[in-house]
Amino acid sequence: MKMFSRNVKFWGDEKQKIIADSSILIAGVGGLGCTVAEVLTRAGIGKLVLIDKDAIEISNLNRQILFDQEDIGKSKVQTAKQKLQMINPKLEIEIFQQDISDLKDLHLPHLDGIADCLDNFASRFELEKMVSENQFLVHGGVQNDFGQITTIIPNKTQSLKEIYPGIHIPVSVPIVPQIVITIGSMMAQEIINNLFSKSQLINKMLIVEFSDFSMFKVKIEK
Amino acid sequence: MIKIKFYSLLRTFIEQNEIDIIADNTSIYNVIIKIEELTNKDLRSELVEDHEIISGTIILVNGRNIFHLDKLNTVIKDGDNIDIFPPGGGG
Repeated sequence: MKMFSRNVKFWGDEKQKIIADSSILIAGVGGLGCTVAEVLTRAGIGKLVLIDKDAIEISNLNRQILFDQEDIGKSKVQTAKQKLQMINPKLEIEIFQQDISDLKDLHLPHLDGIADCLDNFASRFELEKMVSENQFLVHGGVQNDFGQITTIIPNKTQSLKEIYPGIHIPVSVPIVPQIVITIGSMMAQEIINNLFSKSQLINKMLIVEFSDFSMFKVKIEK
Repeated sequence: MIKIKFYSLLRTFIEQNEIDIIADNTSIYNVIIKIEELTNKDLRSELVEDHEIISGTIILVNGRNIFHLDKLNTVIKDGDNIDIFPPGGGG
């Protein structure tokens, strides 16, 4: 497909087909979710499942790159679907305008992996309950001008609940756009790494800080 | 030698990326006090409340969260690596 010719020049037909045959759930279509969804779309992902209960607010526009002024008040998942299919009309998208706590009751299609783009840890702990041993979850979080990413695989890594026990961080934390777009892009890369069975962040937490452009990989012991 | 690395907000607060201290068989709480002496920063105000770890901060000893060990009484030995960071919660 001509749209992905530059990707294919880099990673080849075989890997492009792996991406095209893959399906990813994006939990939370906010700052991280918009970027992960757009990068995966342009990478050539075959299917996306989007879940987010919210409508677009003006305060989202500093970092949620799929939305603009005309989208205020509209459903995030419906608007994201429309914008992503303008990029790639062949992309299959299923949307759920629901809360993460409703996930267990939803009839979800087959998923290869899950992107945790949520904005609170309670929802993240709910989300990871649905990850099975043959799936992966790529977790991302951002605040101020820093963020972190790791891959979670049941029985192979610690769970998010084990890594972040007893954590409580208020919602509506300060966030600038440049870190969200960067961490979202890196999450998409780690999702692709996992699809290629080449995860770089199993039992490792990548911490990115924009204040001095530093990146660290912190060991997380299983 | 015990190596302590700081990330994100704490790195800014401490104004250092990492600190090495010489200690053995001491608690993580005592290590925090030792860091305060070396940096002249009130690290406890960022990490500890009523002798409990503040809920927004992760302290890893050799990759394991002290919450699963003995919390602030976790024994630190010569050669241990400690990572301290408040994770980003937003999305």
